[in-house]
This record gives sequence, structure tokens and C-alpha cells, in this order.
Amino acid sequence: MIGSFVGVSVSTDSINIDSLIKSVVTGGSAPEEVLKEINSYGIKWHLTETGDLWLKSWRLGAENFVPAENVMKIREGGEVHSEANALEWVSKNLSYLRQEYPGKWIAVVDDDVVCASDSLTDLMQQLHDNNIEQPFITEIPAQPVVWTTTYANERI
Amino acid sequence: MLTKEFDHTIQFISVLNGSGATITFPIVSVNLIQQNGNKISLPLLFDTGASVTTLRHDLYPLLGLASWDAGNLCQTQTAGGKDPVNTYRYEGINLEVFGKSLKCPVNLMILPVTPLYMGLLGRDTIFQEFGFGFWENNKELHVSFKP
Repeated sequence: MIGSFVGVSVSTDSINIDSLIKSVVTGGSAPEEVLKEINSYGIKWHLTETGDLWLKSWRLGAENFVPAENVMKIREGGEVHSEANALEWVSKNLSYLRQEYPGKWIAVVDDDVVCASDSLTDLMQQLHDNNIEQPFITEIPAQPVVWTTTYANERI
Repeated sequence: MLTKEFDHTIQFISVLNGSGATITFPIVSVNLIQQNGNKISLPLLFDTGASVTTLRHDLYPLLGLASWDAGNLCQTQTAGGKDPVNTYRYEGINLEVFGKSLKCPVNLMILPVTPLYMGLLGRDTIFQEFGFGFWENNKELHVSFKP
């Protein structure tokens, strides 16, 4: 199977990205030449103040794997990492949650709202009474959410 | 050859705002371990600018407190804020972060209400337990359990 991964044409049967990088770095070329070659692979690098070279080779990725306009749709249909299930579920169902639970505290377990209440204290009591363990808790604002953040906004 | 390995990847959480733009947040689910041993999963915004992990003030019942302002009064400067705001600090709060149990300080503070995060995951005690790689273009937070 052949694919174009981060600018490097590779065979996934034989690719060993660590070996590839090692051969470039330890190949005896001048540092500038090594960096030029690393650049040609599309691999980002960083030089520390003490002269160490770090390479961003955390994983392989297939560029332009899907059209950008399909990203959100495909993400929504995909499997969610287990530890992020409740959070992902809440983020994907915000419209529904705002419609059904405006101004309520909710507890989520296994992609379902298991308890809801006007107060956190009452919600905790419900959870205790029903022996619900390790719920994911959040509050659904009654008003439209104002996303105040200094993080970048991006239109996909 | 030097290597830095990451053990875990957290995808940023995406939401659409009112104008249809996608906003992404690096959010980490953290377990708050209550005095009775119960675990409550709370979403916290990964925030390198927060020196101490900070929870919304109205979460005080989860800490077994009678009110949110019973701790040590501190003042903190917030991003974009002109004047310092009051926070109340509590020591030795049990948190489980990426499966590791930690006793750390927690501030309670009045924060904006959003359904996606209930506070800020800050640096004190927690960050030195892990290594983090922040990959904005890929909307990923990478975590090393053995920094």
C-alpha cells in the first residue's frame, strides 16, 4: 500500500520514519544540509539554544486526506476516544441540550443525561440516591453561550 | 538520538458559534475525588496561563464546602481583565488527571458559564507530572506520562 504521508512517499509495509530521520541526522552532512533535507520531507524541526535538534515526528499523517468541507461531517460520524466520550457528546448535542435542559445542571453517563436539576446540590443528591458513579457534570446555560476566549476562531 | 515520546493524544473539542464559525478548545476531563471517594468528571480548559487549577465558584459543594469563599483570599489577574479579581484557594484537593491521583491546590473563582468547561487546568503540581505537546494546526494536545 502506497500513500503520500506528510510530503514523503512511503510504503506503509516498510516505512520506519525513525530510521529515516536517524539516517539523515547521522549521515555526516553539514547541519544546514541536514535541515534542508528534513525540510524536504515536510518535517518540522526546532533547534534549542544549546544546539539540540528536535524533530516533530510524533505521528504520520496523510495530507489532504479528505476535502476540508467534509471534515466536520466526518468527525461527527466518527468514533470518539473513550475518555472524551461525555465531553464530545455534550459538544455535539449542545443545541438539543439547550432546548431540553436550559439553565439546568446535568449529569451525563454513556451518552445520556441521567439526572438534571436546577441546583448542583440537588443533582448530587439525585446521583447519590441512584448510585450513579463517575458522572460527567456540567451546566447548560439558559441564554445563548458567549464563547469568550483568546484562542483562535477558525472557520472550516 | 534524542526522542520525546507522547503517550496520549487529546483532540480539541469543536463547537459552532452563533455565526457558524468553528471554535476549538483544548479541554481535559479531570476527575475530582470527593471526600467520600466518589469521582466526578469535570471538563477543564487546558490553560498554561493559569498558575493554579481554577474551578467555577459554584462548584463548591463538590469540594464539601459550605460556601465558595471560605478559603484563603487571593487576587489574580485574568486574561483580558483590567482589574484583579478575587479567588479563594483550597489546598490538598484530590484530582485524578490522566489517571494519576494528585493532591493539588485549587482556586474557586467566578468564571463565565459555558457547558464545555467548568474551570481551568492550571500548572501548580499538575504540569510537572506530565509533558505536553501543543499542536494547534492539528487541534491536538499530546501528553507524556513520563516527562
